[in-house]
Amino acid sequence: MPNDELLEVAIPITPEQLIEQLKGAELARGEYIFTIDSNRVVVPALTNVTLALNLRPYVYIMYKHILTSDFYDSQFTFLFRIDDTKFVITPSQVAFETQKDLSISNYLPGKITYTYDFFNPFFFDIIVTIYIEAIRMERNLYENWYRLILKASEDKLSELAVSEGGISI
Amino acid sequence: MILRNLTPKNIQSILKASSERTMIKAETIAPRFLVPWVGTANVYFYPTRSDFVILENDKVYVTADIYNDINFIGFSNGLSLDVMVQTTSFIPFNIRRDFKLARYMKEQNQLHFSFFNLTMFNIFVVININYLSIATEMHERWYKLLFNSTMKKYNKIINNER
Repeated sequence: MPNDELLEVAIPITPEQLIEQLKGAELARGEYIFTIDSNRVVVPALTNVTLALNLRPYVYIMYKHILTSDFYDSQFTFLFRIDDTKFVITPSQVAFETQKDLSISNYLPGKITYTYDFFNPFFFDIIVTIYIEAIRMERNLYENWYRLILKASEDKLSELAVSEGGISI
Repeated sequence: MILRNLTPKNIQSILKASSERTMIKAETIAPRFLVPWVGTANVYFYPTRSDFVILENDKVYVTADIYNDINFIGFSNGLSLDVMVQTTSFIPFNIRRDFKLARYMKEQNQLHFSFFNLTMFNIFVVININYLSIATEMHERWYKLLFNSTMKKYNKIINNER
């Protein structure tokens, strides 16, 4: 029996499914890698610190994005944005009173910089750790495989919306 | 190819991964509020702009600098505690409390928190909200229509069963 009859791929295909597929197929080994990155930043007493992580030249598809600190208080705050001011994840200052999971998994892959601004109003230094679990993908694999499959899903969903009198995205 | 499994989770996941979409926003807010000693505080939240609608897959949790069995919290996904109640009674605020930010009613962008502080000291609380929101036009003319189509299919099944 030909493969086409045995196997049907239903859409929409989600980013989570694509990542599982990459893991299973092992075809693109070397073009993507699962990474854990942990950046430590000292925020000196009574100062503001800006930390920018440059993600070039790969495409990072985030799993987890967690901020921890050696001191927590609701007066210690931070801001987070992607690609300077283009994508603001925290519209106002976020109180850093507990560990923060920024909940941006799979959001906006392919961006260049992650920028954090920390505001320390205390009379002592605070050490913050930024923990990132991600898939680091070569741009070629991202543009010519991952992105195209997702676009096919978007297009098919838009087709359905248009058939109901809606718009295409 | 046939469309299958049109769940909010699947569709939201695809939208999040669309790299240049400005009609989708994943944001985090965590403002802090004072609940005075032997007092109450009512906090009304409009976490996103009026031209954006919150989708349902994200979380809300509330922390305090002091936890106590005699402090209480109530949460509703609406303007008042008797509409869209999500805590059916006031619950003790003796640990971080997590709520589901469920969007299952039209135009429900407001969140309402009530705090009762029965201790003799001021308490600061922080309301943490991670949410995904979508431009209103896209919600009305794209996202909702996908589920309308699925609902029509369900109605067909019901008609056949009759």
